[in-house]
Amino acid sequence: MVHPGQIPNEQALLEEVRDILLRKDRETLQRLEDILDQRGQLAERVVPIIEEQLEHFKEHFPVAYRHTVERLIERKLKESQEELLNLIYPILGKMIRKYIAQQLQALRESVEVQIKQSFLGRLRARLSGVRESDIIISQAAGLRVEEAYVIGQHSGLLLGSASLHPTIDKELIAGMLTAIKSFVIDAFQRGDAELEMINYGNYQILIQDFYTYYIALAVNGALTAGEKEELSEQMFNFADRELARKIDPDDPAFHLHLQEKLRLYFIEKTLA
Amino acid sequence: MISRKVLITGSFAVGKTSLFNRFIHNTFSERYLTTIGVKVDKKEVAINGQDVSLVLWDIAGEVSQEKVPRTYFLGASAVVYVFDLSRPNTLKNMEADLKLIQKTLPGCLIKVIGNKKDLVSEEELIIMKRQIPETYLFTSAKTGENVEGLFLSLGAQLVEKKDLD
Repeated sequence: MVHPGQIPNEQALLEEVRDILLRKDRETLQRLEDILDQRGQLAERVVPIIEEQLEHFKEHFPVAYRHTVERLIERKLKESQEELLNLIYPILGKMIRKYIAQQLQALRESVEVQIKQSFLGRLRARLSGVRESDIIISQAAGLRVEEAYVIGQHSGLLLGSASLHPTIDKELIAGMLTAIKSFVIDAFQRGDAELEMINYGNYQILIQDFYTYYIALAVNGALTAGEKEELSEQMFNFADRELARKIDPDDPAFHLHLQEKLRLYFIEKTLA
Repeated sequence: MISRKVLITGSFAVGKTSLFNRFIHNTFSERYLTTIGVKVDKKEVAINGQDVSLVLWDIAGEVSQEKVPRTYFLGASAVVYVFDLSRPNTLKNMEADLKLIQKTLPGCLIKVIGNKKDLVSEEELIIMKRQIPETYLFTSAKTGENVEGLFLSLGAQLVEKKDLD
């Protein structure tokens, strides 16, 4: 600062001029520093801008990124095709089965009514002294799932199994069963039809196909249509809960998990 | 333990089943070969501490024959193609057969085996070796020569392939 009567020092003069010229800028800079240093103040300024940008992004995202997202989804779908089909197959199957079951139930009820009203039905009940339903229940006694397998659809490699009694090597059973299944399909060439059951004596092997695998149940005892339906339903439920995922046949934990679940779902469960 | 499906195929009477029988203990009757055209068995091998279960499908008939169900080939990780060293005409269809296998099973490991080594002289073998790729292996199901080695190297290649995947 230069006082009156003093010889102005050149340096001090320059300093004063710089001070005058830059005062406004310095004040502005200070204000900006204050804003940046204080989170609250900064947020007050910045948040509306971010929100505005986000809004703009939301509005324009479909247009700007549609192709990129489509390509990504397409790629992901291609990469996870098996996984997706494993996921969808049991659900679709259940829906179709439910529809068919409803139609069959309606048909069955109508047939039963006609049988009950028929002379033969009344005569049979009178002669035997036993109701038709009791006969069916007695026939079903002893019915049991003795072996359950989850097998790779084409490779025939065993993914999981559980059994009531010791059997020969299960990997071999899985392989031969797959070979027989392939043989029947190739030999009779019935389009998309699949082998659903193999019978011998009082023993039946029920087969339910899924996309990358199939489930086979070895059942001891005479199987009625209703019980077959019930087991089929159980297989779909099992697939939906335990197999609707990416299957890694080399994962030992997956094999153990399947073994345990097959035992719980089929071997330890008695049919209603 | 990892499991892999391995097919054994080739021309008629080249000793496929004998190779198979040399390597494994038969569980199923050979009647299956004439009834449904395939017999499944397995052999477990240990490769550097990794247990490998080779599930072997011995397929009756030739690859190019229409009567062999194509579905037998599906899902296989390896194919052992066998020809008879004492009958050069068993190599006749090999090229077409291998092409068909590669088309049906892209990326599948293929091993070509000249069997019945015991039936040919050393001179004949030397001539034969000049005419075919070095990777082909000569075996004798009768004496067991190279049979165990064939399946061990197959197991090792399958483990290596799995590690790469």
